[in-house]
Amino acid sequence: MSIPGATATAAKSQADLIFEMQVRAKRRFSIGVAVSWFVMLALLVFLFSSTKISLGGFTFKTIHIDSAFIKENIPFIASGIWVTIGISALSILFATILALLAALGRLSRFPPIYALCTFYVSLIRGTPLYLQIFFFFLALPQVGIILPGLWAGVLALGLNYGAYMSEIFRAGLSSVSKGQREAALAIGMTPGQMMRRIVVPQALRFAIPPTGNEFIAMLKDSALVSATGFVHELMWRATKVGRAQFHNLEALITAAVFYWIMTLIFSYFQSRLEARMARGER
Amino acid sequence: MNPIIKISHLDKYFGRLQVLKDVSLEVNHQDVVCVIGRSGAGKSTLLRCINYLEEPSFGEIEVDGLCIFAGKKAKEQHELIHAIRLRTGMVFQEFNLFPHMSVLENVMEGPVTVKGMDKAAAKKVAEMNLERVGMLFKKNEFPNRISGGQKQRVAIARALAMEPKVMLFDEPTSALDPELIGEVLAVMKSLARDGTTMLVVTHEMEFARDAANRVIVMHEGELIEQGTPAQLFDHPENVHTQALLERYHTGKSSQPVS
Repeated sequence: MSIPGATATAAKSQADLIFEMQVRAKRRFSIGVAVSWFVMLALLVFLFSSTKISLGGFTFKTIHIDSAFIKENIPFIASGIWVTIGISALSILFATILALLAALGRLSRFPPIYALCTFYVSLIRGTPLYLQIFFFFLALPQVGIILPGLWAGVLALGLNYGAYMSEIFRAGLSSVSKGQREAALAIGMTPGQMMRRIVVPQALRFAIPPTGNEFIAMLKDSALVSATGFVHELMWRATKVGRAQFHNLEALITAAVFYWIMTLIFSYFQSRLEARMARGER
Repeated sequence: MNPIIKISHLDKYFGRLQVLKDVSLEVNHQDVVCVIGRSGAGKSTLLRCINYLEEPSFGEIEVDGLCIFAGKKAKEQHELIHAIRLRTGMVFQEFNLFPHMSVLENVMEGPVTVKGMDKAAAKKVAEMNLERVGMLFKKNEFPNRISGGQKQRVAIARALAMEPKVMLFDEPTSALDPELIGEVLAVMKSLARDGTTMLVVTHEMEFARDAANRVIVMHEGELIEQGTPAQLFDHPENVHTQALLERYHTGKSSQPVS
């Protein structure tokens, strides 16, 4: 005969053992990943450290970097960080407004409005971003429209991202259930009130995390506007000093490090935001 | 006194499928009318035609003297539809509370946005109606933090806050766990006692019997029988009504006496 108490403790301790094993396995994996990251980072630094290695009769030297050049030019390059963030923030704001309008327009039963929205999305998604940027900087002045560099950049990036992001907002709008619309109409709201008070707020909530992702992508795509030579952001500054003194390697590495750090920082906030949004309906 | 709701010869098609066939009925002031019938009998569709969440195909609907002719496009008579929606309160099977608003804000939303009431006055109205359904103690919670039965009670308060002439209930307890049905039915019974005019689509036979003063039976899109609960439950005439109520009667007799 079995003793109920004894089997219960045995079962419990077994569950504990399995649970602890799983926790240990997870932790071991995370530590492994962290160590590997560190090793790769160290290797990368080593690759650019101009260290001499002697292997038998051969002597190698890793890539030499002129640290004096970096030290001298880092303030000039770094001052582009704020331009990069600024142009990205303005562009994402413009893109968000456009995307919301385009997504709402696609709900319209009025053919010209629906057509305008699909036309816009199709045109923008059917042409390269690089081409669009040059269009605003170089092609528009030919017909007499000359925009300040920053605004041309914001316009190009915003229009482009707005087209892609309209899909995000469309998904957000369709994530709001039919029941929500019916409840709004049943208490006497007009379709406009229903959209403004009930549907759009819920759709925006749905769209906030993916919009954060778009902002991070925008930080890097904003480098494209440097090609026009009018916006003095991170990439423009790096290529300017790099070309002038033939130190492209150092300049580009410096810019790359800045971009990478910015991405890491914003990704951290992004994942926290996402976790917070996922926790509850609110 | 004129009826609050008068439906005459209403037809509704979904594509080629006719889901309502020549339905006529009246709901008078302070009536509590329950609509029963099998799933798919057209009960919910009938209810949803009254405030035009579904567009009826043919017939006539009159709510509080406002007459709407089906078959005319909803667009052409949207002012009339709006006026009817202001006179009807609706409670849904799935509650449909607004998840981005607190319980209090849910109930205030109608008075503030639709009626243009100032916030302080709307807050008073909302609190009074939450008190009425026993949900004032959760006024600052968000919908995802309260139970299904509590959500439905808040939804009832939200509809009541607009002071409708008639309350439409679309299977208000069908999405609830069995142990939560009672609290919602209790609220509905108290509304009935207070003289609220109600049209209730339900599968709760016990409720229909206790609270209604008239019961309507629907079968395959047709209104097949109506009468007082006593008439209908004890002496059903239509064979389909008899079949529908058979399960209720056998279910009840096999239950232990409490």
